[in-house]
Amino acid sequence: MWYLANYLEKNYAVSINGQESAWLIYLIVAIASALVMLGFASLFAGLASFVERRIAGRIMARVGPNRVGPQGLFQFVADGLKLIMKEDLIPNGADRFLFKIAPYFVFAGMLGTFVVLPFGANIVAANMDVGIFYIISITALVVVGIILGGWASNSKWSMFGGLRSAAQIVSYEIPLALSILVVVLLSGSLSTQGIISAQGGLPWDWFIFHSPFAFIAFFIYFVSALAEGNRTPFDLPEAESELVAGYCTEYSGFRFVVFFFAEWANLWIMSAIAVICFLGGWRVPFISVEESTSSWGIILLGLAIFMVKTLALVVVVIQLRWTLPRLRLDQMMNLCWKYLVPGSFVCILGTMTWMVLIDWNSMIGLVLRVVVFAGAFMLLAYYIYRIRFNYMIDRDNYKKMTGKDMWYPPYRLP
Amino acid sequence: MDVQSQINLIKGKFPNEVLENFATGTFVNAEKLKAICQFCRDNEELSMQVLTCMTAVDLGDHLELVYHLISYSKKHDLVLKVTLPRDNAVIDSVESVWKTADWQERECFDLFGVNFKNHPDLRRIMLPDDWQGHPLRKDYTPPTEYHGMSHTRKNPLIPEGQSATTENSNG
Amino acid sequence: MQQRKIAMVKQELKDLHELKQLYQPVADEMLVNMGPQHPSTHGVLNFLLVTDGEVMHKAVAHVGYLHRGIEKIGEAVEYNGFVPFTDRVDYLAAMSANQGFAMAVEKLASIQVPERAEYLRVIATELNRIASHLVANGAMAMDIGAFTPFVHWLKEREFVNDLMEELCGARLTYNYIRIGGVAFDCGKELAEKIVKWIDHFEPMVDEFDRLITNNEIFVQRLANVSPISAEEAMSYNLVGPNLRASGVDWDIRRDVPYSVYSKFDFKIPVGKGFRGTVGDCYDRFVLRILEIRESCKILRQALATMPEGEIMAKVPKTIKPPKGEAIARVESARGELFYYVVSDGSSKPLRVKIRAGSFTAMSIIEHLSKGVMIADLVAIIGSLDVVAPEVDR
Repeated sequence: MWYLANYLEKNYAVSINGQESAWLIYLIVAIASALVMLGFASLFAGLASFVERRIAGRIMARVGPNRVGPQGLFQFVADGLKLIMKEDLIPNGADRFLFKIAPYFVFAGMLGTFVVLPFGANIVAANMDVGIFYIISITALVVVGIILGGWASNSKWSMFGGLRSAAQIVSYEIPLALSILVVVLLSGSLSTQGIISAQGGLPWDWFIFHSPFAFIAFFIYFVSALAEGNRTPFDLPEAESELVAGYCTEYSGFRFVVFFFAEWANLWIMSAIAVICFLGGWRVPFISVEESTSSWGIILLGLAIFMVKTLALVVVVIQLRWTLPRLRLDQMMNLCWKYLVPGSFVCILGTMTWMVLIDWNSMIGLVLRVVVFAGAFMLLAYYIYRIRFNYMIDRDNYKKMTGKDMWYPPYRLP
Repeated sequence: MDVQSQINLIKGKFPNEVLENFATGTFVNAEKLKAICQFCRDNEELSMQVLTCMTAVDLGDHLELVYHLISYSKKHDLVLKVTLPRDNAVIDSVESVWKTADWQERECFDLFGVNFKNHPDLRRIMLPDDWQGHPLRKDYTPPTEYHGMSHTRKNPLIPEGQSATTENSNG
Repeated sequence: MQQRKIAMVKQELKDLHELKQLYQPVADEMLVNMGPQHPSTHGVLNFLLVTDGEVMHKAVAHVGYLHRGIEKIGEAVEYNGFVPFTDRVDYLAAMSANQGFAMAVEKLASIQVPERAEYLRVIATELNRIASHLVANGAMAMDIGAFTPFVHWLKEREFVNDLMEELCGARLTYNYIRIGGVAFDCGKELAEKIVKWIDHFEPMVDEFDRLITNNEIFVQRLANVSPISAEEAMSYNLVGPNLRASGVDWDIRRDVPYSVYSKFDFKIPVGKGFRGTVGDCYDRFVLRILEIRESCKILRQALATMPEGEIMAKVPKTIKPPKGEAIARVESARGELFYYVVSDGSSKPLRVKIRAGSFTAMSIIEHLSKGVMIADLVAIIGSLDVVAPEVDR
C-alpha cells in the first residue's frame, strides 16, 4: 500500500488551501486497500463455503450443490441472500447489547489479519515491521467474541459451547506462537515480507525443509491453527451433534452469516500464514529478492504462486474436516499441553542449535536442506503408496466377488 | 431342567407358598414373591440371572402379575404369577434382586396402578406425572381434556348437525 | 390458541418444578436439559443432566414422549389388524417385530407355518438386521463427529430399502410377516438380485472398516468409555449386541432356536475388549459390524437352500385362538424382542405385552453416567442403540 501511496503522492499530490495533502492520499489509499481486503475476504468466504460443500459431497460419494449458476457457483450468493432475509431473533432474556456486538468481535479479529498478508512482492495492505506479532495478537479478539456470543444467548448449551471454545483457543495459541517463533528465529524479522525474503523460491529454500525441527514445527503450527479455527478434528465447540451449533445456536439471519464468514475467512488465514512462514510465500524459483519487484510479470507470477500454495492447503484443511472424527475436550487439552507445547519448545531449542552449528548460506547448509527435503518427499511418497496399497486390496477383492470396478460406474441394483 | 423339577425345587424351599401350577410356571403367594425371586436367582441349579419381563394382566375381577425369568447358563426359563386384588394392589419390589425391575415396575405402576413397596423411585414413566387413572385397566375411561387441551374434537368433514354415516365419511 | 399457550407454559413450569424436586443441585452444579429435540439423542428422548461443568454427576432419563398406547390398542383390534402396529414398535427392525407377534399368535392358535415361509422370514429379518445395524453404527459415528461414514452406510441401506420394496412394497414399515406365513412371495430374479447385492456389499464392509473402525481418534473416543460388566448387563436385562459385547454368549437364534435358524451355520460374535475393556462402547460398535458379516453368511445360505412351496398357512379370516397365553422371543437387531400374548377366546387379544431391548438399555444409562463427560454420554446413547419408539411403545 505504501508503494502505491508513494507513487500517487509523487505524481498526483495537489495543494489544498496551500497545505500539503499527502495525508489525504494516504488516507484514501488506506481505506481503499482495507475495502479491497474486505472484498477479497468476503469473496473467498463465499467461494470457500461452496468449494467445501462440493468437496464434502465428493468425499461422501454424492455430488454437492450444482444447480445454482454454472456448476453451482452462485450457491453462496443464494445462501447469503436467504440468510439476510431471515427474521432477526433475539432470545427472550438475552443480553441485547452483548448479543448484538458479539459477532463483530469475531469478525474484526479475523478481518484484521488480512491487512498484513503479502500477496505478492509489493502487494500488501500494510507492511508492518511486526506483522506476525500483530496477527497473533489480533486473533485473540476472537475469544472475546465467542464467549460473549455464548453468554449472551441465555442458553446453557450455548454457554457450554462458548466456554469450551474459549478454553480451546486460548490453549492452542501457545503452540501456535511458539512454532512461529521458530520461523522468526530463522528469518530474523517479525515482518511478513521479511520472513518471505529470507526464504527462497526452490523447495529446499523454504523454512519447512530447513531442519527436521522446522519440519516438526510446521505440523505443530498446522494442528494449532486447526484448533484456533474450530475446525474438525477440534470442532467440539460447535459440535453439531451435541450442541447443534454451540455458541452460535441462537443466532439467525445476518448475525449467523457473520460468525460463519469468520470461520471460512479463517481457512484462508491459517493456510496463508503457513505458506508465508514455512512454504516460501510468493517467492518465485531462481529469482532473487531484488529482481522480484522488477517487472509486473514477475510480481503477478509471485501472486499466482502464493494463491496456488494457499489454496492447496485450504483443500487439505477441508478434506480433514470430512474424514476425521472429533476429539473430546479433555483429549484436546491433553494434546495441547502434554504434547504440542513441549514439542514446540524442543523445536525452538533444536532450531537454535542447528542455526549455531550450521550456517544457512554455506554448502553444507544447502546439502542438509536438500537431504531434509528428500526425506520429506520420500515420506510423502510412502504415505501415498500405503494408501494405494490398501485401496488395491479392497479393489481386487471387489473385482473378485462381483467382476466389476468398485467405484466406477457407480453401483446400481441389477 | 424342565419346568416341573424347577417348581419342585422351589416347593422344597417354600412349601406353603407355591400354589397352582400351569404349563410354563406356577402361581406363588404375593408376600413371599421377593424371597422366592431371591432364591431363584441365588440357587445354583436354577440360577435365574435375568428377569426378562414383568407385566400385569387385568382379568376383570383381579390383577395377575407375571414374571418371566430365564437363565442364560442353564438355558431354561420359568414363569411366576401372582394374584392381586384390584383395589389395593400392593406387592414388594424385586428391584434389589434384578436391577431391571426398576423400570419395569415403574411401567406396571404407571399403566396398572400396582403399588410396589421399597421401590427406590416409583413414579410414572410413560405418562405425564399428573395424569389421572391407569390406562391398561379394563375399566379405564380416557379423560376428556388435559390441561385445557381437549381430548376429542369435532370431525371437520361432517357438516353441522349431522352424525357420522357412511355417506359423509371419507372413503 | 391462547389456552394452548397457557397449557404449554404450565407444563414447562411443572417440568422445572419436577426437576427441582428430583434433585436439588448443590454448590456449583448445573441442571441442563438435553431436551426432547436434540440432534444426537436418537429419537425423542429427554435427559436431565446434573453437571459440574463438563463432567456429569447424574443423568435422569425421561421417556414417554412417544407413548402411543400400542398395548392398549392391542386390546381393541383383532389379531390380524395388530400386525401393522408392531411395525411401528421398532421401525428400524420392523420385520423382527412382526415376526415376534406372528410367532406368539401361531403358538396360541397352533398354526403351522410352511417351510418356504420360514425361509422367507429369515431372509427378510436378516436383510432388515443389516439395514438396522448400518443406521445404528452410522448414527453413532456421526455423533462422534465423522460425517462421512454415515452417508456411505446410508447409501448401502438405500439398496436394502429398494430390495425390500421389491419384496413387499414398503421401505420402512413392512407389514410383511403375517400370522401364518408371509404376505408376498420372492421370485427367482429377486433372489438373484439379493445375492448379487451381497456380493457387492461384503467388500464394502471392509472399506468402511478401513475408513472409521481403526481410526485412532475414533478408538480413543470410544474405548474404555463406560464398560458394562457381564453381571450388570444381566441384572439390567440388556439384550442383543449390548449383552454380547459384555462377554455373555447368548443369542436367541442359537440358544432358543426358532424358525429355521438351526439349519444355518453362523457364528455368534462376542465382545472381548477389542481395543479397550470388555463391554465398552467400542466393543458394541465392532460387534455390530461383525454381526453384519454373519448376517450376510446366513442370507447366502438361506437364498441357496430355499425350498418351493406355500407361503401362507390356511388361517381363517378372523383368528380366534383358544383361551391361553403364549410367549415368543425373536432376536431383532436391537436384541431380544419378547412378546407375551394372552387370549380369552375372542377375536381380540386380552393382553399384548412387548418388552423391547431399548427400554432396558435406557434404564442403564442413569447408572452409567456418573462421572462421565457429556460428550461421552452421547457416545453411550449411540452405542447402546436406543430407538425411541421401542422405549415408549
